[in-house]
Amino acid sequence: MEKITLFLEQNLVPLLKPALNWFHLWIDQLPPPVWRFSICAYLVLGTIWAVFLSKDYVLLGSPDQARWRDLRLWIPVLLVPYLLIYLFI
Amino acid sequence: MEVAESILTPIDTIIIVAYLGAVLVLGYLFSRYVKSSGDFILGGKSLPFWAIGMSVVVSDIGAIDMVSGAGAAYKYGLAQANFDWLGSVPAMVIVAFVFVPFYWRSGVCTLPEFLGRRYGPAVRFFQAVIWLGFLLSMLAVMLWTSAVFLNTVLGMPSQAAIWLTVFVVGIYTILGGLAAVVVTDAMQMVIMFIGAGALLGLSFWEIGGWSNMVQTISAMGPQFEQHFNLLISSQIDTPYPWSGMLMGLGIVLSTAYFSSNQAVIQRVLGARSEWDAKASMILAAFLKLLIPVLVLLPGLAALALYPELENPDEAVPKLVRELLPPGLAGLVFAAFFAALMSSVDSYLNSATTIIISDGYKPATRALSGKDPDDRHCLFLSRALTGLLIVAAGFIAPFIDQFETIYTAMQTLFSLFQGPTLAVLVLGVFWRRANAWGGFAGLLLGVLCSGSLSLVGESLFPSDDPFLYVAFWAFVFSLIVTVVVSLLTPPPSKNQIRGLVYGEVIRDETTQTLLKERIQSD
Repeated sequence: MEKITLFLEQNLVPLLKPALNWFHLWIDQLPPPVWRFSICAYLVLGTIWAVFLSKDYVLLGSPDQARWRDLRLWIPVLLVPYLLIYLFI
Repeated sequence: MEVAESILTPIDTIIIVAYLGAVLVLGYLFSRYVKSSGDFILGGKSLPFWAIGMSVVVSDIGAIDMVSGAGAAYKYGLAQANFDWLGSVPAMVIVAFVFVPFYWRSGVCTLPEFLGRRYGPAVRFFQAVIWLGFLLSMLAVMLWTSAVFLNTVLGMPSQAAIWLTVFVVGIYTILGGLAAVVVTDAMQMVIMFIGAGALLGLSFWEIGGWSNMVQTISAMGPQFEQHFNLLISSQIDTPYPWSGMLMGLGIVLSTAYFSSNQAVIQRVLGARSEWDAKASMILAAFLKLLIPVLVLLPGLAALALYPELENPDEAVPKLVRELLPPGLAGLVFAAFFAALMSSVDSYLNSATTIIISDGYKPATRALSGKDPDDRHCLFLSRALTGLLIVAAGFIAPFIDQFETIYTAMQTLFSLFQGPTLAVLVLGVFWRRANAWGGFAGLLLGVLCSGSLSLVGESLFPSDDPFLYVAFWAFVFSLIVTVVVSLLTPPPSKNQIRGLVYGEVIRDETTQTLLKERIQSD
């Protein structure tokens, strides 16, 4: 295993380091408010699309059409506590 | 192993025995409904969303997590909570509305089965072997870790602890299959939440509330100043830098976990309707909000109360020994058993399913040219479940000697997550992805993960760069799968019929064909 690691240190690291370094250096210098904004933006963008799904798609297989069974309505309710956590902790 | 003195009073013992008895009775009651291998593996597709949602959460949080999660919070602080918060949303929403309907309609039982249909038997075999190895090694490790915990805190001999767990979990899982597992999981989640909540309440009572805890820990020195930050700079020595959390955990590991973990897939496929399957994931995402509060905060409370602990994993056992009055100790131990059994039963049931669905059934078809008899499959599923849990019971006491195998298995599994997600996403959403692309993406992706893990400290701003490794291996696998697929012939329409998102979700002809195939299965 040591030989493999040494081989990779000598051949892979010089190849990848310049490419990965600029990216990680750029990310590292971002201020904390940008971290929060990035995480919150990811949470919102990753979930909000679900609100725009068609009702038929979301309710397929549902035993009735009761309002609470529309899972799209629960997405904002789910998102709020997560956003509060990442905005204020 | 040295046997510690028990802290349980007779009332604690009565609570624990009553709880274990209730679990066994539930398993027996569910055995009446198991008439076929489908009933055993998928609970007869009759499970309601609330039971599945609770089961998904409680399978994810095992007894090991209750101990080591609190230990990690003791050592690294609140950043550990990201694994349940950022690790749940948006991954669970994406899985609920994209992957769950896809798996549900395409009629597969396991991820290796889907990848096998999409990319060929080599990928199926590769995936089945790694999942099986992971599940079985985890079974033995869970039994052993629990034995150590029960021995340290309760004074129960480790062999007795192992065989008690093997007996109780084995009986209800063999009798009731997935339905018994999910329903007992739901009950176990309630017990676990009550027990963990009691421990948390007593810890905070002892310490004088949240503000006192923050003040005490902050006053301990500069090394604890990040303990109440969720997001930590990568310039600080931590395994959980914020950028790694976002890229590695949020985008790759959490999505891979919920979209490809057999324990999760099997539960949602056991739902009584597609809506229940989707709703179960949304409910689980709500419940996951509470996990860091119940599991991690006791670790922080232990840091404030007992800052001198050499091993952070002793945080919860120390709280249990020092704080719990008679009666409550029994409840917390019932919670611990609940967490333990809910994980062991899930891994056991999933391992059996992979052996039957990805080993026995395809092998029988290949050898005899016809499907195996269903009664035979049910008998084999039950026999395998018993065999696996007993084997895990025998291996568990020796797990210390096989630590390298366990570590290798865990490392190998973590190396698979990024590449598996890459070939899964391309297989589902890109018609042009073919067998060569999928195989190359998976194989080279795992090699990339392994290489990056070996030299990660030189490449990434962290001493333990598993989050960055997962992200870049995912990106690499995506690129390899796309390039190799484009350089080799595309799959024919027949090869991908009923296996890509557009067809499975929107094409009515394909949906009719899939329904007929599922009914005939």
